[in-house]
Amino acid sequence: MSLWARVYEERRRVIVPLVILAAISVATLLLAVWPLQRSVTNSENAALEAMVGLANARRFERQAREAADSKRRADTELQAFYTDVLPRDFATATKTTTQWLQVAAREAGLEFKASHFDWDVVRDSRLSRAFSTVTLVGKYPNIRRFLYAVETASEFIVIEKVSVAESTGQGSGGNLEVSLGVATYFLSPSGQ
Amino acid sequence: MLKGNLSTRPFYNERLVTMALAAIAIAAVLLTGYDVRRLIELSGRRSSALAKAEANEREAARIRGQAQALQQAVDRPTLTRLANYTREANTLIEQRTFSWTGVFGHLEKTLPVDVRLVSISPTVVKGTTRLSLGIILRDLNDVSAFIDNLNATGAFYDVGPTEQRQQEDGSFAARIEASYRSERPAPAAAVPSDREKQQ
Repeated sequence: MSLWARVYEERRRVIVPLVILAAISVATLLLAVWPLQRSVTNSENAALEAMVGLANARRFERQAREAADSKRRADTELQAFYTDVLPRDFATATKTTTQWLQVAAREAGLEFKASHFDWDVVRDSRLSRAFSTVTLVGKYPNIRRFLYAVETASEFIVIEKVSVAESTGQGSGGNLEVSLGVATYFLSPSGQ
Repeated sequence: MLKGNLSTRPFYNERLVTMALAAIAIAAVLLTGYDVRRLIELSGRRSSALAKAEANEREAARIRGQAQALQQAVDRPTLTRLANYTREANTLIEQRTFSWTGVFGHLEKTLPVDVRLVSISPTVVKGTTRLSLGIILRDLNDVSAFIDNLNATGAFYDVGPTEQRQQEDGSFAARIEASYRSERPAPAAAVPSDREKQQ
């Protein structure tokens, strides 16, 4: 009998449980701990991906919320522009604009000759455009004063064109005749 | 002399064997302990990770649902229409705030003596103000001089003639187009210039 066999024979009651314990430990390590380790790594990666997905969803929601907010804000501002800044309708547009231009011309020392308003619907828009050619006669500094008054007025009057000619009327020495293409806008009845 | 061990059960180093077995036993116990501890720890981590992933996925799905509902409220055609209305309003406001006195201030300084301005009309295209200037003049060389003067102000650019024709009285009618860096109305715009003082 060899020495190893004799040692095994004499200490079998210790060696056998010890070998079984060691085998179970190693088997547990190989068959349970390491696969579980891989599984945990996968689960943690999945959790990380879910966190990235959550961050993306939050960003997506923030963008959608910002778009909704900016739409609401633009809607409100546009509504304020349509109702508070622009005249209510064609009648108001012509009345207030003509009155204002007449008063401004008089205050600037210009003679208000004529104006006639007409209107058309602006294409692809909720707005209509009321327009007129206004003829004024007077000195150049007064014309500049009048233009400055229009620029700084609270009324929404757009000067689209300025045409200047020497006045040909009697007693018109040094006077200029100015034709102003003026326009204002109002919400079309169908655009509300 | 013969040497040999005639014993049927010779002695061996029992302490060494005992120590080896004890070492193996300690290693096996330690390994078992390590296994148990790792199993508990990894199980906990896996449960936690799975729960976290599930919670995050649920939350992400909820948030995506909310975002989609918001997006449906702001559909693309509505947004495009709104953008067009806003652009239109901004263009109108730009036209409204156009400084005529500012332009006249520049023209007073740049118009050659024998050139008469007969019309000005601005148009705003994509935020750029284009001016169309109609002038009457006796000498066509004054067109170049006027263009040079306009360019020199720094307020006008892309300046060029678009039309020149002789009139019955021998004078020329010309049209000049220029881009203009619009200014806000100057408070002291009514101050007369040299040209005004001459009139």
